[in-house]
Amino acid sequence: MRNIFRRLRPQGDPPPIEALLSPVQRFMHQEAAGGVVLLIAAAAAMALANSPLEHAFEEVWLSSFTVGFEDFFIREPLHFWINDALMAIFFFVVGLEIKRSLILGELASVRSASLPIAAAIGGMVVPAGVYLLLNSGGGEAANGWGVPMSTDIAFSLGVLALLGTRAPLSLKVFLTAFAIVDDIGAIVVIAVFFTETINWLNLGVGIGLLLFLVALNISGVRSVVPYFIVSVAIWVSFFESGIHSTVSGVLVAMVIPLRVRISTLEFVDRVRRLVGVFERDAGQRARRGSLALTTDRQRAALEDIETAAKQVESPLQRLEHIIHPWVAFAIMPLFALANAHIPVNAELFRSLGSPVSLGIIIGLVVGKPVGIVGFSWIAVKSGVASLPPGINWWQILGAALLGGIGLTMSIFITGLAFTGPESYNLILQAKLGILVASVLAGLSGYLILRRAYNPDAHADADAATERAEGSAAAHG
Amino acid sequence: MGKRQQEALGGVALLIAAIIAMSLANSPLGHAFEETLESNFRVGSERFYIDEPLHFWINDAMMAIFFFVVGLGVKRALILGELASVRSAALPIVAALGGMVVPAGFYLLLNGGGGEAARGWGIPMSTDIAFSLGVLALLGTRAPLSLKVFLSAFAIVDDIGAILVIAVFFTETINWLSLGIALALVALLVVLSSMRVRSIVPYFLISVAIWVALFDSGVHATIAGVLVAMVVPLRIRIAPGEFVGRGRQHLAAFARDAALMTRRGDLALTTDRQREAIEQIEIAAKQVESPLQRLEHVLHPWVAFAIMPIFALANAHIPVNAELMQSLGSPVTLGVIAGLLLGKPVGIVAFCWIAVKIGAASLPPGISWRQILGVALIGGIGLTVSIFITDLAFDDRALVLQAKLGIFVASIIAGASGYFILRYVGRPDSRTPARAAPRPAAGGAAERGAAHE
Repeated sequence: MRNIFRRLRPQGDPPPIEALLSPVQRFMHQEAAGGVVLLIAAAAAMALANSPLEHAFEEVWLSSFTVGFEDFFIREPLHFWINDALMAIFFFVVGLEIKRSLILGELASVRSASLPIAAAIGGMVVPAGVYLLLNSGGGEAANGWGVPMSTDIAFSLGVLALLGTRAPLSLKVFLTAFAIVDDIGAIVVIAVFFTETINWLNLGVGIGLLLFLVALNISGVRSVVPYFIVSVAIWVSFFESGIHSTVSGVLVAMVIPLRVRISTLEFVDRVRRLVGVFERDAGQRARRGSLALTTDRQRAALEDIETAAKQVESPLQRLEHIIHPWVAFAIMPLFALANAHIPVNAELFRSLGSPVSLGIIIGLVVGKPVGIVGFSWIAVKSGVASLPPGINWWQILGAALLGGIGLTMSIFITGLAFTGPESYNLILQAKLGILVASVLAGLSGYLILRRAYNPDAHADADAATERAEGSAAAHG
Repeated sequence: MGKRQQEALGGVALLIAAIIAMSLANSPLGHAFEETLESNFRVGSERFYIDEPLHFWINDAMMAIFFFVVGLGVKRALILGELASVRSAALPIVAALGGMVVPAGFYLLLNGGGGEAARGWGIPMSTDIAFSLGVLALLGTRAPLSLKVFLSAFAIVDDIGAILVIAVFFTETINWLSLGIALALVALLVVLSSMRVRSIVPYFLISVAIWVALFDSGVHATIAGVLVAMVVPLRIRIAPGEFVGRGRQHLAAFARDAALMTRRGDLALTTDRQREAIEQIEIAAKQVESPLQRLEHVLHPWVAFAIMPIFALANAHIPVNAELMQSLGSPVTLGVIAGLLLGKPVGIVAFCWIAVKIGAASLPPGISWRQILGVALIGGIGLTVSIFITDLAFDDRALVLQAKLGIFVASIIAGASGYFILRYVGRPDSRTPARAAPRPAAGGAAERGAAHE
């Protein structure tokens, strides 16, 4: 028997996939990794859009894909399935994050939430104002005011992560917090301003199904399948209602519980006992070499262990961790691939001077930091909020500039804002503005934070923040 | 839920679904119900799509999962289970052969005239393994374990037969390119699993692609489920000892961080270290069990409580009217009834008897010939697989109805008579020591008492 066990244990050389994937996995665990993959996808989209394959590449996204019955179906281009269906999962994770920080995280107490809320409001109102000033002529261009309002939370945290210990933990908490409030703003904009006519019946069905999710939850249904099916139905009813269907992702996230079912102690006791049960039957299983069947008792013990592992963690946190890599490494890069293709030509350079491009660039690179720092300053001076310990105004400015990385969310809103006859050109101008502004904002934010770092001031403050924020910050 | 209860309950769910289908078919809603099943559902792009009635999505897509689980059972039995050794496999293999050849022969005798009716010979060959085990489960401790093993073993061989019939006889023209793609994708699955890719998502996506390729190839798409099942490994990655060690180690790591959790009442956030510990415990729990067994256990309730009842709902609707009563006398109906009700037990018992007499096999310890007859009758419950093959064999609606009628009548009678034989007649007069040992004293009485609980 000992021989069998020895053979089963990996000896020296890891299994092929792990040898192959372990550098990949180490990479994926870094916060900056998602940003790198996103950049590669965007670069690939740009390269394809400017290659001889351009036409075929464009056509792929426009080819329609149908799901449904003869008289009840959704027939939309591939582009839609990515921007409206897959991105609903992106927004679901955004929603989970919002709920977590509102209830147990960075935004849970008025005291700690007031600064990021003030910052986020400044970072939304000022850029939108700047944009509207430059596009006051009315017409379709004015619809784009929501584009420079957004912050790409994943990407800004990625840049911050590149600074390593130069970025104090409390700055990361501040950036996460105001970016989350910014996300709430973007969701409200999507739901309120980009909804034309509402079909109240479908909206009612969607909300009824949402209540049904809550009921499932209260009645203790554990399997993820019914939740998934009902969520798909909610997505369909929102799609049919006229409200942007990605909003359904946020709403579903809001009803995912943060409640744990068993205490830490109970979990430890239970699993310890179950491991013992499993061990007792170890001699009785059918086996040949490393092929083996478990006994019924062992199977039951394994199942109970897995159940306990699920119960000791809240469904919200569990889902966030499971889906996060899919969003960062599959959905967002796909979104970039489908949306970041801009043909580079003489016309493009001319459009850099267009009011839309300029409005977005100035909105993101100047409006964001001015709004964030200005509103934060007013909040601190009026005594409503206070600076986090060990953070100076230069660092707030640096984080505010990182907030000017609009990318995913800005591109997403671009697709919603410009739908009229001029949309093709406006979208290109907007995307150009977003890319230019995001690069400028990210670089300048990085450089300022690098210079602003003062190791002596942070040693004590970091320790204090770590104690104060507990583990919550580690989840951002 | 105990395993035995689950087996019996699955049968109950299936029965309820069949009854609902029958009552719907005979209600004013009958027409709308039929129409729903025939309405097309489409998935795909403009050029490459599948546009088929709902009925197809149930019978050919969802049932691929049913056949996947069947395939897992077959592989397990062949490698580590009831069919793993020649000695123990001989009797069920012989029984299954008898239980396939004789019913098909009976059917063809009654439908020898040729024409479409003759194509139905595969219908009475099948055994509904879930339903038969469900009836056996109702007998509680009256059905000895070795009898259950025998029934599952010959029903599994029977399933192999049904799969071969579906793959070989109900495939018209083969598109070799698509078939090649499907096989290449199966090979890709093997590569993934030998590279120890853990996430289920790539396997699922490739399996869907295999299903599409087989659908396109002309081979029945459900065979995809069986093919995929064959490459699911039975290998465990870590030994039980290592699992126990790892489990305790990560548990300790989890407990260490308990004070650092953010919490308010029942709401709580775990720390990153705790999250990691939970994940490692879950991974270890997955690695100490083979993927095959794990999948079988995870999917079984879905098959028993969702897929099979939905299949019954979509397929068991028979309008009861004067015409139906006449069709009871049709050769197809009679052939199916004769095949399942007489052919099955005659074939199984006769082939077993010959095998035992010539010494090729031996009866399991403590099992009497009456009990063999009892399970052979239970094997005549064709239901799911028989109905499935009916749909493949016949295009003519009248023949489909006749066959389904035959399947229902035969399955009910076969199940009931098998149950009664095992309950009242099948018990050997003298219990063999093997059975009686655990309850030395008033064995019979105690057992009767236990069964009534």
